[in-house]
Amino acid sequence: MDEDQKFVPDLLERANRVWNNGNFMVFDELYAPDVIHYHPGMGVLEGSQSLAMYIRNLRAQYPDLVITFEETIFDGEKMVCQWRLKGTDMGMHAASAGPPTGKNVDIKGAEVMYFRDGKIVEDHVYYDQYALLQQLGLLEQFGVGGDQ
Amino acid sequence: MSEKITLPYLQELTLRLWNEGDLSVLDELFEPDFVGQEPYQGMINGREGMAGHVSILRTQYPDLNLTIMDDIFDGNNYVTHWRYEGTDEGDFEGRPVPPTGKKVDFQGTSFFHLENGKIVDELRFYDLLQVYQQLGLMPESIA
Repeated sequence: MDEDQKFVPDLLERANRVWNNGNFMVFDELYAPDVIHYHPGMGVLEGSQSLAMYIRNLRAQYPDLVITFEETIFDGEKMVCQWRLKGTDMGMHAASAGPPTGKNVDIKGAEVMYFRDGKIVEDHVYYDQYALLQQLGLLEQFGVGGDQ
Repeated sequence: MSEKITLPYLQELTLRLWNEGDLSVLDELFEPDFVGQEPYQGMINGREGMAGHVSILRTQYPDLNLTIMDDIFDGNNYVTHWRYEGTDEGDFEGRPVPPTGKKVDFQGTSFFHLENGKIVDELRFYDLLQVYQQLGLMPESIA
């Protein structure tokens, strides 16, 4: 139980360094090399190198990105975590080949993580892309306003 | 009272509510002033709100099937990793678009807080855009 209690904060600290600080030195402690990462709008990213590239692109798209890890539950085998992402869209993004929107985003999502030897080997990210696109103003073409 | 709240019990009631439309689950397991939050509807208020929410979805998707792929219960918090399948065939009063006939199959996760053996709130996460895309209501790529 002691190990479990350290496991969550240690893991979230590694995630913080990778995602928020772009410090990839602990990346291989966080993710197994064969990690499978399921992500809205992207299907499946296979392997830690694909995931590393995604993280770098995300940090380029939102240079002031801050992800906070919120409510988390862990049963010794799997973990589910709520997170909040805030940032300004300054880059190209997957939703369109269009220019940066310059919009601020503030979204909440969750992630289900499965482990092998303490590293994430399977990872399911869930958030509402529709709400994100609304915040970016990319749904206006469909007659959907930015403030709903 | 809280001894009867176990993981299998929570699973069973969740599946009865969604897959059988057994609204008595709400009296048994949900606080009267339960609050839910989910991407399409937004807020779900009280047992009545949840009853209406489940009923409308089961009308819209007559073959609705919820699968709990994984879950965790620590005594106060219940978190599910679920799969939702159904065919959009059912019409109902106030439906914004007619039934599409399309099948949806998507996953998500829900966080429930319990107090004194009853669910007080649910926070549900899934990609609403994916659902719209599966229904053919939004394009596959937003250009």
